[in-house]
Amino acid sequence: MMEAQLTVVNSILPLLAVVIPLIAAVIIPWLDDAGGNWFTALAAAASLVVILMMYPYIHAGNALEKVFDTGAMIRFSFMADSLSFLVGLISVFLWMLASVYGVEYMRKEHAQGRYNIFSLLSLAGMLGVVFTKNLFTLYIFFELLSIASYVMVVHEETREAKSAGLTYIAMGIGGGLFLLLSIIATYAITGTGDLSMIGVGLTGHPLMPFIFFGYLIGFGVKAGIFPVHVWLPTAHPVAPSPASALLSGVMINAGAYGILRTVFAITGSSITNTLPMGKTLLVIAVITMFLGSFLAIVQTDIKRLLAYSSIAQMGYIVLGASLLSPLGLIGAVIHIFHHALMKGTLFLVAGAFIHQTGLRKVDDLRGIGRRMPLTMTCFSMAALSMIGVPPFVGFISKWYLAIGALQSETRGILAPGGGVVIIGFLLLSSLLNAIYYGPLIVRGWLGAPEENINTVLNNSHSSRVSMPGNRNEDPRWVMLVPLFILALSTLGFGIFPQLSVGLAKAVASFYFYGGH
Amino acid sequence: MEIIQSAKPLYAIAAALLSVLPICVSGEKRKNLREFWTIIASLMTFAIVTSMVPEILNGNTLEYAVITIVPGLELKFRVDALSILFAETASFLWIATSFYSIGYMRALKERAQTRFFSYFAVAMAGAMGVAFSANLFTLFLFYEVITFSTFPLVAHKETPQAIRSSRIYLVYIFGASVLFLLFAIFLTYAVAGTLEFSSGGVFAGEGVKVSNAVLTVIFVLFIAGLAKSAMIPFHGWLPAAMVAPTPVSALLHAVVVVKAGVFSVIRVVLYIFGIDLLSQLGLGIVLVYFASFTIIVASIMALRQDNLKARLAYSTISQLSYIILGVALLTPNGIAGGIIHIAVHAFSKITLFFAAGAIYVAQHKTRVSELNGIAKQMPFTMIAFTIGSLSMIGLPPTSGFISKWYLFFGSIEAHQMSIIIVLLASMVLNAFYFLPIVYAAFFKELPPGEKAERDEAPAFMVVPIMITAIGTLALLFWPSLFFELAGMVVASVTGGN
Repeated sequence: MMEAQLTVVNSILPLLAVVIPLIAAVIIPWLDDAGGNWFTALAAAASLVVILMMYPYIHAGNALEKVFDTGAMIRFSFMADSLSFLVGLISVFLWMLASVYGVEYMRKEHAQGRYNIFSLLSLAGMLGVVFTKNLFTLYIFFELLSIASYVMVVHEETREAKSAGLTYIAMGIGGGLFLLLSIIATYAITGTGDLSMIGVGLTGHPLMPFIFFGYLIGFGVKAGIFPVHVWLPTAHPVAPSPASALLSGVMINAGAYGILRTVFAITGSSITNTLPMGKTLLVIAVITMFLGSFLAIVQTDIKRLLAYSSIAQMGYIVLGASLLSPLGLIGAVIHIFHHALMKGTLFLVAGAFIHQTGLRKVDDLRGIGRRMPLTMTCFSMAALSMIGVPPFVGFISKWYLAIGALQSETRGILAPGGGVVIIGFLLLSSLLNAIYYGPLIVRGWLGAPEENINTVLNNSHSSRVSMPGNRNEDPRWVMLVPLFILALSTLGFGIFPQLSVGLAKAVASFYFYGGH
Repeated sequence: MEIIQSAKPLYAIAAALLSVLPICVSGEKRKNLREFWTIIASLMTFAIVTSMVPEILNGNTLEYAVITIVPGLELKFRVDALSILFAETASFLWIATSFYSIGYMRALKERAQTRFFSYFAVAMAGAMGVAFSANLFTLFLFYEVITFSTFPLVAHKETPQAIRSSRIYLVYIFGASVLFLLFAIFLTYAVAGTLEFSSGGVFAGEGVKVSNAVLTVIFVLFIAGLAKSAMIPFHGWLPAAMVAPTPVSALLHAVVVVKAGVFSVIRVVLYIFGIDLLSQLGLGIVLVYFASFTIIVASIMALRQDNLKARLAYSTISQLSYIILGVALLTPNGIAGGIIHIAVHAFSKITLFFAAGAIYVAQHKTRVSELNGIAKQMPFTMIAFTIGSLSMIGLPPTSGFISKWYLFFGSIEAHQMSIIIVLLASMVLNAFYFLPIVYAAFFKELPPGEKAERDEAPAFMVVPIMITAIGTLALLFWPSLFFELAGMVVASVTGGN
């Protein structure tokens, strides 16, 4: 199935998208804090423009490519196909909005220059992972992402942040070593690291299961899948809120993307040989889904709740991949896109709560909708989408995952009745989502504001803590506009899912029908 | 492939050596003029070396026979890809070090600066000589030039400790070279009838009939004699030599002296013995295991050092063995990885030493445990230190990853899966002794009483640090010169095109 090739167009656009944030990172030290914040957003916007310029090619079914040979075994190659395009697009889109939001949110923070530099380096790492054609380049940018995002995690430099950062970097480097081993084994066995060609050489090789697990662990750490998720619930919430949104909405996808790429590069060549891997993935996915959701229910801190929710959502993506069916893959791919929109919105809203009122305990957020109606509207939209209510994007993801499960059953990948069981899991998971998102919406609008506001956590944004009053406490437009754009996207892409689904279909047809 | 007669290698050596005269004449009273000559010498040396690069890349070899002392003992230079790679790295970093030294020596008001700069230039001339040697005799000669010119640099401070260290230095390096290296050279001449480096090795000739045991003895003598490569148990001199002023530690004990050692090992492995003979004798793999032992043990020792320069010294011992390991694997990717690591380690480690010196000059701190929060005072220095550290660990996006990448494949080619474990373990150990420094510098609180104000070393020092740090990053993305050179070495010794 892998023989079919996309028409390849030589283009520097994918490289350009990666290089822009790198260059911007070098310029940041010469700007003041406010200028640096705007400049970061501007650099992301420039990358966004470059990525949008790829669309005509991608839409026409082409892949863009730029290859540099620097030595016998060293080849930097940059590439964009429909999967890269979709993940890259949502990455810079969210990055741009989070950076605009950061202009206001980060205003009182320390070390803003450092934050912006490492934000841009992380963006370059993320885009490098996505817009590459071979494993060598991928690994380099993957490590850049790990190291640069560490600085975003520990930004607050509190004891909590440092200890979360330590777990994060230790697991990141450890996972990176597994990844490196697998990559080296792949090159040694297949003689190539080209993402579209490694499958053929690996299939049937006795080391293949080990290599597969190396990839799963290496990418899984970033994606936060069970059992290498343990760093995520501490690291994502301790970062400043725009960084949390990027960690949980975008950077987590570097892992998911890597899993999709390697799984389908390997399974694409022969589904029957790789069924055990699919089964293993399925088990991991289901555990991840339920573990994340169950732990989210008991969280009292809103950002930690959102972090556990991210783990659960990564379970969906891996589930879609494990189904080994075209519709399942579509579900996985669009959920990367959708989850980024939803989780980006939710973390930015949580940040707005914290920034405006200093409140971050779930219990304290009763009646917050009366104080911050616009912000709470955004939260409600994204949360409803998370639960899977139509016509929000979350529903579209679940729909494709469900019919993907059925397709998987008809294709003989799941045992008879397996599709229905998977749908049962999906519904159960939706129920769990409703259990922890539902009360947030209901109490946020209807609950009586807490009388005892003294429980407010002390943090750098608590200076504006105030008793609930009639005054509207929604944040300034700089924060509100990105929130609304994102929240409306969760609705808009749900009603008009053609863009994401169309691209995902191209991905599926590439991996399952050789591009036809 | 043609051999071109050219005196350029001689000029490169002369440019470094002759600068001693104007440096001495200028003396302490005309400091600026003296430093001017140092800079000129380093620039000229680099320019001459660079002017040879195009010829080499065209596949040619430059040769220049100076004099035949007695038959068999010929002073002769030959420039090939391996020479250029070493000479280019060393002479480029000499420029950076010259500026850095000026800042360092003046800021600390060091004594006897004329002597310092003079011997420094002599050492560089020795390095060029080693790089361009065409035979073992010439190599030995310049190897000892390096030994004796760096001795006064180690003893520079003339404190009892410095004197003691310089004695250890001389005993190890000169002792080993006289006892073992010279002996090995005699035996080589007796057996092969020539000392001339040749890409297939010299023992492969028709008339050579000698038992494997004798060849093994010769090999062991060579490896033991080349103590500058700092393989355990011949490593003791390197941590002792850290008593020298930091520019010496940076350029000489991270680049010139030690690389002259590993460079000589490479010459012996690839050009005296040759790949075929060594694999037939099974000696390559023995050397691989010794190098692995050094890599791991030196890293563990590094973990225990609180003195920053001592930690860097043990790291150097460990990293040098990467080069030896790669070459001793005797496979194309292994050799390429080892050779590229000469340049990669040079840039990375000199950055780290520069940073250590800058910390000493600006804050008078020498211990790892004193570095809490120092990045608040010296952000540029510590960013450079971080880049150097990541490169030592072998993490992208630094060039340290490149050599690791090749070494991994070299090990697979040689069917030495255990070496992969060694390399991974070393990455982890390196992370353990470098990252805590970086973490403490950036995220721990400054000691009470110190202000978090920008307080960097003089620009003369900071700019070279930034340049070598950028080089450490850039080598990953634009390494084509070094790759090409390494590829040519591999092609010549494996009998490729």
